[in-house]
Amino acid sequence: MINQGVEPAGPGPVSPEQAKAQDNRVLGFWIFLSGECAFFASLIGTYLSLNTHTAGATTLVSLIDLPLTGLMTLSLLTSSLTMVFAFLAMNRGELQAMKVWLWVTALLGAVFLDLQIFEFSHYMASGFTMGTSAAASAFFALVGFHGLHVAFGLFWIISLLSYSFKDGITAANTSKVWIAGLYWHFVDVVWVIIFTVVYLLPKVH
Amino acid sequence: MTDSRQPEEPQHRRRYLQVLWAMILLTVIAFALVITGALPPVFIAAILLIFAAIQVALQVYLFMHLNVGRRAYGMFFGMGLGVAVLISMALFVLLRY
Repeated sequence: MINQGVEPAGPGPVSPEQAKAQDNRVLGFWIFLSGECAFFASLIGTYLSLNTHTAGATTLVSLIDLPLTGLMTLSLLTSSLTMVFAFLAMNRGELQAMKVWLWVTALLGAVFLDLQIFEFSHYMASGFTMGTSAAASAFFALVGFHGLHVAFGLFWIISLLSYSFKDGITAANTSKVWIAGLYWHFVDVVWVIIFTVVYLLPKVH
Repeated sequence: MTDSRQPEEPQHRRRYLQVLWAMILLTVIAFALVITGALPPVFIAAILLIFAAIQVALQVYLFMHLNVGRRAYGMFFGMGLGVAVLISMALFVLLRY
């Protein structure tokens, strides 16, 4: 990786006020994530309750393509690792390396979204749509909202990449990357749960 | 924001790679169990849930660096997770039964 010669971020923020502001920002984001836990729990609870309400129509279990889901999981898990590599590059003060890893993360996120769009279109073509049954509604609400979170995360990372970083990696801008990374990892955590509860468990006979 | 400063050493990168491989391995085993049905369903279901819990813990503690952050981060996130479990269980019980 190329070090553009930027100054390393240094041991910490430059002033107590700045330190406090950044610390509060990260703490606030963790509180936001705990709210997100409740949001996804509502959707998961609803799905678990309604997944047997198929109204005699096409069921999800008959349509699930496990290799496709596995590929989606692989792309999202790997994107978490590349996001960690972006952190590590940031901590070394290597702006260019950080940007490369952020691009790789965005690319893997885009692959995930692409596969999810393909999956949804396949389901809809097979007669499994939002209006098919209560189970289908709950499924599309849960997995669709997760997909929207991934799309938002992708937009966020690309926004970060378009940020100029004209002063290099500084104490003032590291929290921007840090918080975006927390969000991205959280989206991955939610996928691990969705992957298990929605895709794998119904396949266990 | 001292928690965002990770000491950068080659072993850190190796450790993160090892964690990724561990998570992929757990996913592959989960897949294999579901596809082959090698164990009774109740065991497979239990193993899947345990694997998911391990993966969530690895993500939160290592990738999200909760292991080095302020205690308040873990406290708030833990509360969120607790509420999340309660909400999902309550909805499951209320809507299904």
